[in-house]
Amino acid sequence: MTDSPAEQPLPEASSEGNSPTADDGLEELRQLVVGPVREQIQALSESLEDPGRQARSVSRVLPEAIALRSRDAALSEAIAPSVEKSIGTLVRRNPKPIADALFPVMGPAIRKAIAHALASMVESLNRTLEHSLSFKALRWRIEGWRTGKSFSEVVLVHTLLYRVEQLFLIHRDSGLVIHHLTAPSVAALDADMVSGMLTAIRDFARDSFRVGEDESYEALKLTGLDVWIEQGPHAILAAVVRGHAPAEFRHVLESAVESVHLQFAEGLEKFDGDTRGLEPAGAIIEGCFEARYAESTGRSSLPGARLFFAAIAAGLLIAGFFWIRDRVRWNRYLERIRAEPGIVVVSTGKEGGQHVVTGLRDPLASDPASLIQGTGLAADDVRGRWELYQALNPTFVRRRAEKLLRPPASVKLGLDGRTLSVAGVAPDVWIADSRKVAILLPGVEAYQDRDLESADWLDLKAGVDSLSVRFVKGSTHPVPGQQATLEKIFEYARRLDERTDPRGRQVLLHIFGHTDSEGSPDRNLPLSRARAEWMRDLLAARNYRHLQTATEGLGSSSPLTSGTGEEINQLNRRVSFRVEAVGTPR
Amino acid sequence: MIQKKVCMLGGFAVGKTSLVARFVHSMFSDKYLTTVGVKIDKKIVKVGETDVTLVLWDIYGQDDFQKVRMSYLKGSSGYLLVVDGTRKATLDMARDLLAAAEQEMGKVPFILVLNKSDLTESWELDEAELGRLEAEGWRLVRTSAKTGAAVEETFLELARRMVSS
Repeated sequence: MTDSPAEQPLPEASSEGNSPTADDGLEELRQLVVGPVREQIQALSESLEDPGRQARSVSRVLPEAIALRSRDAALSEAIAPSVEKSIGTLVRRNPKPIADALFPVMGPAIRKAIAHALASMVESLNRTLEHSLSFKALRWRIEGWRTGKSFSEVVLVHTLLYRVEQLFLIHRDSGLVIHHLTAPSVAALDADMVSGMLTAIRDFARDSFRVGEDESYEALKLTGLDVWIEQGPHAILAAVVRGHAPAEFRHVLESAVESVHLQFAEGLEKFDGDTRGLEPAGAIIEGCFEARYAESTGRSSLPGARLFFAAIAAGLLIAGFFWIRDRVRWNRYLERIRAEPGIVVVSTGKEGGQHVVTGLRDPLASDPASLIQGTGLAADDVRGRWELYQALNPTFVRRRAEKLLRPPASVKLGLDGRTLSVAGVAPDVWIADSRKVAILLPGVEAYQDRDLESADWLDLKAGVDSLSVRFVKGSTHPVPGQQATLEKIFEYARRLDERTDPRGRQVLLHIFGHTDSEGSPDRNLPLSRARAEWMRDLLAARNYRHLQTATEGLGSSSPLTSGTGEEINQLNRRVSFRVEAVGTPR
Repeated sequence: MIQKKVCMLGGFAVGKTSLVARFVHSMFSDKYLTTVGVKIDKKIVKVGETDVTLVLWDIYGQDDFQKVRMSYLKGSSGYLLVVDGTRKATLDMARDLLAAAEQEMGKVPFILVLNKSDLTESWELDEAELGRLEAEGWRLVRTSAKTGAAVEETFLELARRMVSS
């Protein structure tokens, strides 16, 4: 403003106004000539000093002025700090208007970023899923375990056709890095040094093999990793590619290098290590990040299908396992009941999820339901339909005989073929009943009780053996006071009269007469005979119907007690008895 | 971010590699030196408020400078010219290297590093000659890779001169 020509006359006019040599005419002339101008200047000067008026006049030209300089970066740079500050102040004071204004812009941008992140996540998840249920996957898992890599890394290595992992924009002469970008999840190296070394190796290779300076494309090849180098006049773009990119990738690099040179020609030419101003080149080379995976695109429905079939296979496997396990348990149970005596399995099957077994069962056999325990089956798993029958194997015949005959402890049952034999001692009643019943038992065709003795008969015999009647010395008169003994003899005689021996033979009651050892045999023998006959007559008087008796005089030859003295003699003067079965058995 | 390419030049076994070994960030092994003939290291120094990344090209020293790959010098913003103070011949070598480099690249800031300054007993360099070099405008620094003396300062000084040039 101070350079404006309108201000120049002002000091001139005022200095003249102060001149002491001015006269009135001259003053008038001056008034006439410069008066209006002076007033104008005065007004202008006032307007310049009045900030309000100045602001008004600037405001009239400000929009046009800004429009005029809008193509010039200087204006933007000049106002940038103020704008920055203003926005900062505004955000601090009340962020809402800014947020509202930015919302339409930020919303889609954020959505896009999230969608992108989700898409890459889903893609990697798909890839992992697709390969997680196959033999290949198993092999890869082993590889991962062996090499210490994660499964997803191994999957990536095997399915990756190629992926651009790092991009270096390198200053051609100095090898200094202008820009370095890494793909997500790629470990970043020290770009400065890598870039330098890359340049050095490139120089080394070119020097060593005398390749022309303008050899347009080059590449370093390592196992599984290529470094594609695209060279421009001032900058080199190096792409670290895992896998093998197609030849078309060269065009992508070429056009990126061209764009960088086109847009940053001056900056690249004068590059002295200061990357400021070259940052936007990053956006251009970022377009070179590419990745292709094998067996992924166009077959996106496959992982689902594989998963489905894998699920079915897993289901079948599980069902198969349970089926086989059930089968094994069922067979174990069947084996067990088949081995059980007295149980005959006729058929097996399944009804409403339950195993069914039908067959015959001896009532004396084990309960089939009790055999389930220990087979792994539950009681509910099995239904048994059993018809009762009588098993004819020896164990069951004997068991049944024992159950039916209830032999006393003194009797032993035996089974020889179809013959049931009994041995020991039993009451007559049992002997008689058994004879009737035993033959009716299933599996028994003959009954043998030859070795069975009658307990009643033995009692009777022993009782009879113990009887004796004592006599007065030298006579056939019994010693008085033996009425009870005689009654007892009669009772035995009655019992003998009523029965035969166990084999049906007739009973003969021997009556033996005895004397003491005193006196001569000539006298004693007849006396003993007379005593036996006395006894016989006494019994005969009682009219037994079947009882037969035999008498014999034994003299003193069979004393009850040996020795001398009246007391002993008294014991020996007696009659004694013995039972004998005579005739043929029935 | 400001980066500068710096070449480490010097004859065989003057101690370039050990000079930087303790002071730089390194990711490549020394075998690159003998195979490719160069090894890249990195050193970040602060000039004023600015971080300056020095990308150091440690070029394999040979006593026949003809064999040094001049293509490695391209784009350098400065040199460290390393001399073994106990071997006079290495100074001549350095002088030849610088001449070759300047012919290839033009004039850029450099520092003459007189290494192995701890081995004073076997010091071979002629002080008068060094004085003459300083008079020519050469900047001389005495360092010891063994003790680390003046190494950091040398990097910083070179960075400062490169940034202001």
